[in-house]
Amino acid sequence: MSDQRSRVSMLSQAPFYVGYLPVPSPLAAFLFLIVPTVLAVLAFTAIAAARSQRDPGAAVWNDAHARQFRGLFVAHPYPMLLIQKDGEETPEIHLLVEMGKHAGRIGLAELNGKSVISSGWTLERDGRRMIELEPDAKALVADASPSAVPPLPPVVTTGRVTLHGEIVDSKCYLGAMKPGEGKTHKACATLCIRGGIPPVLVTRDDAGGRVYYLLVDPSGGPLDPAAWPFVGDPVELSGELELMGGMRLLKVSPRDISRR
Amino acid sequence: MSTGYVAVQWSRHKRVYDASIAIGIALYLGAFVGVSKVLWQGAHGISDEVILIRALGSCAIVLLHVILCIGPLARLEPRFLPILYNRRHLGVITFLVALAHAMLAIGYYHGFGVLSPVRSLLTSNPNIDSFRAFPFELLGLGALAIMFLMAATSHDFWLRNLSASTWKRLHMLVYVAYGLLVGHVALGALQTDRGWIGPALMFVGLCTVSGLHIAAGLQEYRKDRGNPTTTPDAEEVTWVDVGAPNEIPIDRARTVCAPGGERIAVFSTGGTISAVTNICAHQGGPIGEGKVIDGCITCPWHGWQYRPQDGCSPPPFKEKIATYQVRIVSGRVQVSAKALPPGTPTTPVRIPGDMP
Amino acid sequence: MADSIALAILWTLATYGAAGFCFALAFVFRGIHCIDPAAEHAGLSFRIILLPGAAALWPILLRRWILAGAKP
Repeated sequence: MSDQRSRVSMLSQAPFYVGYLPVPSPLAAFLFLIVPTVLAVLAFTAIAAARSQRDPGAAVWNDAHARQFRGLFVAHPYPMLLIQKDGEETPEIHLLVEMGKHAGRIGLAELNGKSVISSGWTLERDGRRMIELEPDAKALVADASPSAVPPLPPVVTTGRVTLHGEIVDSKCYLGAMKPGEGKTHKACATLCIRGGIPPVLVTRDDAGGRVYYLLVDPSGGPLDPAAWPFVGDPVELSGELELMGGMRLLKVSPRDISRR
Repeated sequence: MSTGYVAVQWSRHKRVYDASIAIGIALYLGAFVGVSKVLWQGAHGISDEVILIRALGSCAIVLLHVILCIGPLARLEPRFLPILYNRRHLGVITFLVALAHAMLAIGYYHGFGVLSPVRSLLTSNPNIDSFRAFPFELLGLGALAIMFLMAATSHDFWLRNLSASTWKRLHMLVYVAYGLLVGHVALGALQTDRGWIGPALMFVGLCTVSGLHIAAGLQEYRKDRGNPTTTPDAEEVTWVDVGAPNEIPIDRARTVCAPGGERIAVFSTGGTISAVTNICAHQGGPIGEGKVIDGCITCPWHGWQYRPQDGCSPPPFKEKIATYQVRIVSGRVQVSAKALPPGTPTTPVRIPGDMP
Repeated sequence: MADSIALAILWTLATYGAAGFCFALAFVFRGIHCIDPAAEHAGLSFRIILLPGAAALWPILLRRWILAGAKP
């Protein structure tokens, strides 16, 4: 009973807070403890959440200075520039994209198969290079005095393969967005591919290295839009593998793609 | 309370509260961006926009956890009540942080393309029939819509004009928003960065929120169950036993549960006992945890006041709450289980032997 | 989501929002006095912070306004 009495009398005297009155001092002391604690928890959570991010990979977008490249322009299935280096047997193949999430709007018909000078910024990853064309008329012009026009490298068909990996848009993955892969990037990758950015399947080889496959339709044209829902997801797909110079081309039909 | 409206009834407390929120958000965003910049540099750097999108999004969900914990914490430990007092400002600011996250993410991931950003948002991921490939953006959008409705209706004008029950129901949607956001994070960010830290943080958050709610609910349940002996009298009025008069703290209340389940707050002040409903007319705050200040029962949540004898707010305010008849029989306080209409005057019962 | 459904949702939302915004402007400066006399002498900042809510919940408020206007 005396316990009950003392509890009742303690409750009578317990500090009571009203927002429009000064804070009673025992409550103020409690708040001086709680508020910094909450702030500390916030900071700790921020650090933990920031640490939970993954390495986006070593990819660089050299968007400070535009450079000029001379080579052979090929418009299909995706715009690319073939550059012949001295002493090399096959030309380097650079995919050509435009600013934003666009590609394939500049110089397609009139420059296909011709020597050109292109001007733009490079994106690089794993030794692959892409050129983002400048937005003006000088981005892609016919080369009046071509020095070395590379021949189109022969296409070697190697047969049907089944691969596991993720379909990404090549521009973001090569450095425009970091990370340019995964579920949170899925919508962006779809929008890029819809805008003409070449889709690429990225797989891992036995040593853990990344292997790139440029995806095309079985007829050799751009990837069928019915394949877009699989972009950004872990997929298994099978198709005809072709090698063109140093580039792997995978001819794939949407019905041969499945989510894993 | 309600005489004339102002945009915000600023007080020193609210200024300190808002400043603390601002410091908290600055600390969170600063720490997130700082750590991201230090850990991944040069060719391995994460895009600035992505860091900001992640910082704002995770900040909003952490703030939502804080908001959801304040309610049960204040039920379990009344010293947390000052943090509950200005919770709606925290809610509005959390919505603004979430909105910044959404606008940046939509602009960055859905902008610069052949479709308008909103059209891309709705169409770029059609996999609504798949669990793992589900368009998690739509879940976030749903949560943002709920948070917008809550922030837009946070002023007391809406509480009065949508009716307290509609307003309360609308604001209970915060739990739906929380569920949607758990899905948004689980099917979005956690699938992109597959480590253990992200899921661990979400799990700790989920356990904290649900654990506190269960603990507060259990406490209420025990209080209600521990209560009353009832005695029906000749006129079929059920009287609920409250205890001896001196078991009710001076200027405070003892809360009992009527057989119908409604809670009654029985106050002892100035040597008399009187009873009102436990539910505040403002936001349904627990009046029984309040205190009599300047002769008026004062709600612990936002300080709304009512006179003990008739449940009316002192003029010029016009709020009313239900009152109850009280009697003392054989040294025990008893309260009638039947509520009187809000604002009905009653005669407070004088405690025997207590001089006025 | 199919593009046609997305467009339909977009247009519906845009129409609802635009109508709501026009209604909200009229409501916070005029109609509000009909449904809540306490708002009669309220300042500009109070009216502005009601705008988003009024634009979102305009069908409810419009009904209230009409009902309040019908009463003498």
